[in-house]
Amino acid sequence: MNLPFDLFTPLLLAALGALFSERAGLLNIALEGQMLGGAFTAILVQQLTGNLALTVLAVTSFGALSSLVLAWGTLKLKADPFIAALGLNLLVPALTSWVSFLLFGNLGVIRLATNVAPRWEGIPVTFLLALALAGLAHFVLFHTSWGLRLRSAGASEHLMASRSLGTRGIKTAAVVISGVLGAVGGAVLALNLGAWVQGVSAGKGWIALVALYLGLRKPLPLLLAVALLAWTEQLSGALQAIPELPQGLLLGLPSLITVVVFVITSAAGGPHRKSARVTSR
Amino acid sequence: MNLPRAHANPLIGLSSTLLALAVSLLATVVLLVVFGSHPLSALRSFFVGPFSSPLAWGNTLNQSSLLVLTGLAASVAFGAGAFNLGGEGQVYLGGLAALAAALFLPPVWGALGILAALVSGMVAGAGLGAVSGALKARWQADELITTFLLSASVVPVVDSLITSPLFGAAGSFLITSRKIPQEFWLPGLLAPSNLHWGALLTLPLAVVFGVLVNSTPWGYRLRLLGRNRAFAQYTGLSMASYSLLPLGLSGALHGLAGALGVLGTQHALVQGFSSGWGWNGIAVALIARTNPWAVVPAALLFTFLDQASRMVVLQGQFPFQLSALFQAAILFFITAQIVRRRS
Repeated sequence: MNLPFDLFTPLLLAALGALFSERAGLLNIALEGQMLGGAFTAILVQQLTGNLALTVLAVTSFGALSSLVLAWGTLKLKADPFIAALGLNLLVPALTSWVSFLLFGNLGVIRLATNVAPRWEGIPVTFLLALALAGLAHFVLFHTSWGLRLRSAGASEHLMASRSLGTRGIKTAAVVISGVLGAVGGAVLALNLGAWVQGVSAGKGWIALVALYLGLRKPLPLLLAVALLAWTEQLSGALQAIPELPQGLLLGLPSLITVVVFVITSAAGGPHRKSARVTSR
Repeated sequence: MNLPRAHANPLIGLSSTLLALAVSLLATVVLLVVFGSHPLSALRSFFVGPFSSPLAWGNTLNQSSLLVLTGLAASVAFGAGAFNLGGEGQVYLGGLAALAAALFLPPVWGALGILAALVSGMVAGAGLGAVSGALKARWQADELITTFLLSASVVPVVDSLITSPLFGAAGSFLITSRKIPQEFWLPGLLAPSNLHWGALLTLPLAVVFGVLVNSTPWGYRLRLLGRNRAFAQYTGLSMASYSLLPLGLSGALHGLAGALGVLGTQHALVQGFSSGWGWNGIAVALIARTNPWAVVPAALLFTFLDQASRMVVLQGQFPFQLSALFQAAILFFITAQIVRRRS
């Protein structure tokens, strides 16, 4: 079976985003909303300007800004990271439909006239970039002093405090990276599709979190986890073409498989640390 | 997780909550004034609309009774340190179980059939919640993720079941199941609104939970679990049963909400009828700081604001997501320590 690039790339980007935030001890639960917002921003700016560079800039800014809001709420106002992020996840779909209503007078589909996703030798360039990013993430997190500081901020805030090293800056940076990757992931998803559809992220931001744990919170195993999850989603899509099979069961299949795999890794003493909860105390 | 809970000085906790509510309300009103085509009439229907007629009154009360249930469900779980994010699926599955009972039990059962349908809704919701509890007890699978994902996988299954030959209605344009027999409808109150007698059931339930959680040894153990899991374990609490219990109980309350929606309001299972009940229950529980006593006023307040947003939307002044904006603002600010604690 071929690797489903269109599912793999957005999921990998978001999962890498989850990785940075989790390693810094502030797991980004808002990825789902940020993917959705990135998808909307991409189609919106691409439709209005037709300029891919501007689109990338806008998507990146959206990801960074939404993450800064989250960092402000959780690190400065000491809001619970989980609940504040749920708020963000609720906010984004409301905002997208509102902006779409203001600009286009409808809440539905925005379709791009031209397909802008570039390919190299038939392989989507975004896929190659995402793979390179996974390698880069591995290098930054495990072979630079900044990466060590980031991981220390997540692993032991007390240690950092005892060395008079603040963690707010590095956590903010990690959440911003995470939000940018999530938003870009959403943008790739929508640009591959060539259209904006309500709820286009369809839980991928959550599945990215599962990929993170399944991938043992390391960039390279993460690739395998993302590939597995992308395949199950493709499988569920392919099975839906068979009318004899119960459709509802198939639509629920990706979440169900994800639960099963999640439970298996948990049972195997997987690395579920519930970082968001531990560090918020 | 620093959930908002009773502070040593209750006034600080309360003022923090009120401030979060005020910020969210202010944001909504500013949006209304800036973007509404007729700001004054928009404001009028926002603040007066939910009380303008028996119809509006009844709908507000009915909706808040359901939110009392899902709010209690969330606060029971949260208070015991279990994060039930599967409310959406538990409510929906509870609705399906109640529908199945109401469609297949003989209508002559009357009130007994209603009771059976409500109980099957509770059992279904409790079952779904308990699965996550069992997964946690047996394999340490974080319930925060399993409840959410199990709920996400149940929703499409219910969606497709209601149109299947087993439950489906022939020739209906709505995506809905068959109507349940009239013998099993919960009798209405304040017609033509959706209020029904079942909604009154939620008040004594809130009292029961208030007493159970705040004034019994059993409730004390649950709260201890929420405050300090390690300490609770050290005192000899069975972690296995106390993983199952809060999630099962929470699921049962969610399921009951779904069952009431089917028997009292819809008299059928309309696709997505309960969408948002689970999430709003979480918001209510957080406003109430997971205290069952505070869930009733929190649910009333939340429903008022929700209905108020809908009134404005009905006027055509705003696309339909205004209430979501408001809910998002509440969730974002409700746990924030806007009011600094004095040390």
